[in-house]
Amino acid sequence: MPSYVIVDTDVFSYIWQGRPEATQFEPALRNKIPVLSHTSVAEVYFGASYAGWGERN
Amino acid sequence: MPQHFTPTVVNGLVTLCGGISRQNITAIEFIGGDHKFFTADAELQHSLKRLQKATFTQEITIVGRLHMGDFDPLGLRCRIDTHSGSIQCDFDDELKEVVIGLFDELVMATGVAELQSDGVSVRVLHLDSMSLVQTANAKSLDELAQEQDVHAVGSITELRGENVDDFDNFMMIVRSAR
Repeated sequence: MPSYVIVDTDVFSYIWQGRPEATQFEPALRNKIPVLSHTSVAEVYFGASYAGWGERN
Repeated sequence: MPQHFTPTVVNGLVTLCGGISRQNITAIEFIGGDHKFFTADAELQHSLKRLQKATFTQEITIVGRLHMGDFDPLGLRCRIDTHSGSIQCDFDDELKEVVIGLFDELVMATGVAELQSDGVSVRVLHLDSMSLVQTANAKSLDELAQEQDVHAVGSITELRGENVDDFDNFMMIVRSAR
C-alpha cells in the first residue's frame, strides 16, 4: 500500500529548485508519493504568470 | 428613473434623507458658489422611499444544490442553496419534471430575480431554465498516481527541475497571493 505526503507550495518550490532548505524534508518524503494540492498548483501558475515567465520556465 | 439611480444609489439617498422631518431638519440644500444644485426635502424623501420599495428585477444565473421542492399546483417552488446563501425559486408547470429530476444535484439555474431593496439580495427567482452541472468525479490518490505515472520517490533529487530565473522573486509573488 503506497503512502502519500502532501507537499506544500514552498516545500515543492525548494525541492524543485534544489535549494538547501529542501534537505530537511527528505526523510518525510523518502519512499512516499508526493502530492500537490490544487491550491499549490494554482499558486505556482500564479507565480509564473505574474513573474512573466516564458514557456521554458 | 434616471440611468444612474441604481438600487445602491437610491439606498444611499434614502439614508441621506433619513434625518429630514418636520420637527428636525426640514431640507438639505447642496450649494456650490451661487448655484443651488439640489434640495433634499420631505417630498424627495417620500419619493425615494416609495422607489426603494418598488421591485427591482434582474436576470441572473446561479449555481447551487437543489434542495426542497413544493409541488403545489398553485405555487411550484424550490430552494437552491448556493455558496452565498439559499435562494427561493418559483417556476411554471413545464419546468416541474426538470426540477424533480435534478433533486439534490448541483444545478445551474437562470431566471428573472426579484431583488431586495439593497439591489443584491434575491427575494425570489422566477426560473426560466435549470440544468445539471457536471461535477468532477472524485478519484482516489491511487487512481491519480497511476494516471499521472507518479511513483514513490527514493530521493528528493528526483523531483529536481531546471533552474528558473529569479526564483526568489517567484517565491515572493507566490506568498503575496495568500
